[in-house]
Amino acid sequence: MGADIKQLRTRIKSVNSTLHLTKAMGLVASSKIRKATEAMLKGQEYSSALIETVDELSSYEECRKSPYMKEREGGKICLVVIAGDRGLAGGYNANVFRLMRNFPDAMVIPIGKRACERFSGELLYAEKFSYSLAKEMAEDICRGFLNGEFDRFGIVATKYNSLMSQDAYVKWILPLQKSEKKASSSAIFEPDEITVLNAVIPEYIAGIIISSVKESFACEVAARRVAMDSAGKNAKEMLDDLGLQYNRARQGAITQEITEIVAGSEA
Amino acid sequence: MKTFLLKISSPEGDLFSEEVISIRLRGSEGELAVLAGHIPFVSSVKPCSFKIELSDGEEKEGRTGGGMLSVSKDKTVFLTGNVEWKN
Repeated sequence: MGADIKQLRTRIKSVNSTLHLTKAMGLVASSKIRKATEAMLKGQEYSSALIETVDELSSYEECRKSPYMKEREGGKICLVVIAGDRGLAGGYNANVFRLMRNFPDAMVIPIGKRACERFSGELLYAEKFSYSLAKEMAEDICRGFLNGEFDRFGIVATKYNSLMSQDAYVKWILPLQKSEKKASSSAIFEPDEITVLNAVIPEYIAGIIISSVKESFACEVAARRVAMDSAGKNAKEMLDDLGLQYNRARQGAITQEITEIVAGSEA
Repeated sequence: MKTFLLKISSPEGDLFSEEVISIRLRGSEGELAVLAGHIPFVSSVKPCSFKIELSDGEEKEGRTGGGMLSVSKDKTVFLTGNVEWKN
């Protein structure tokens, strides 16, 4: 009985410290959520303007000649994979990596500490990812694509639906898909459409990369908060159960002692 | 002088959003300036220093690493990753 009580006491202690940890991590995550979602919205605003322009450009007949729009036979794939810097964020990292199982031969450019560890790339933190890094990356990607190092380029990231729901996705960027939209031709492109298109592509890719990183980071923080909330809830339930067991064992030991004393005095 | 709304937009949000008289910068085909009432057009912007004439006649100068300029009827948007202001 005595050993049982001691065991229960150590378990209660360890679950208690887990509860503290989840609470602290949940608090850190919730304080970051607001900033992260704001950054995400700003990034989206920026990239949506670029996407709109490139979309319009890609609907012009003459832009089909651009090397960025040429469909190629080869199957070599390059992917930018965006995952989190840290674990304990529910299924956030696992969902991205599960999606990556569909592309075992892809050339991977990882962003986020977890992704860098998994795909052994240069360490890049998702939280501190900056525009200049994105631009450098985009220029390398454009060069690689034009030199034929790979035939398709895409991004694996996580989409922010709401605080409770995020989805990992893969988005193909190169070769550019022609837009279904008719060219609205309200604007003049200087000097001409194809030159603008070719010049804007690195900017376009950098914009998409940075806005995806920001969106994914918001997902990471939100996922962590939700995960920590439910982990905290589980820890509390466990504590209740253990407390009950502990008290029962303690009560049992006392009752036994009394019975022994009474039996002793009677003898 | 007639003015128009100029927005300088970056992934970190709007860096500048004001009524201005003109902006001068280097497009893909050389120097260009945009004044109020310019026809809608789109051009890529090369890394350069640019000058904005504010509505009070003051001049603001900065450097950019390149981007895209899109002029529409109601506003002019300069999309760029990074801007360093000189003053």
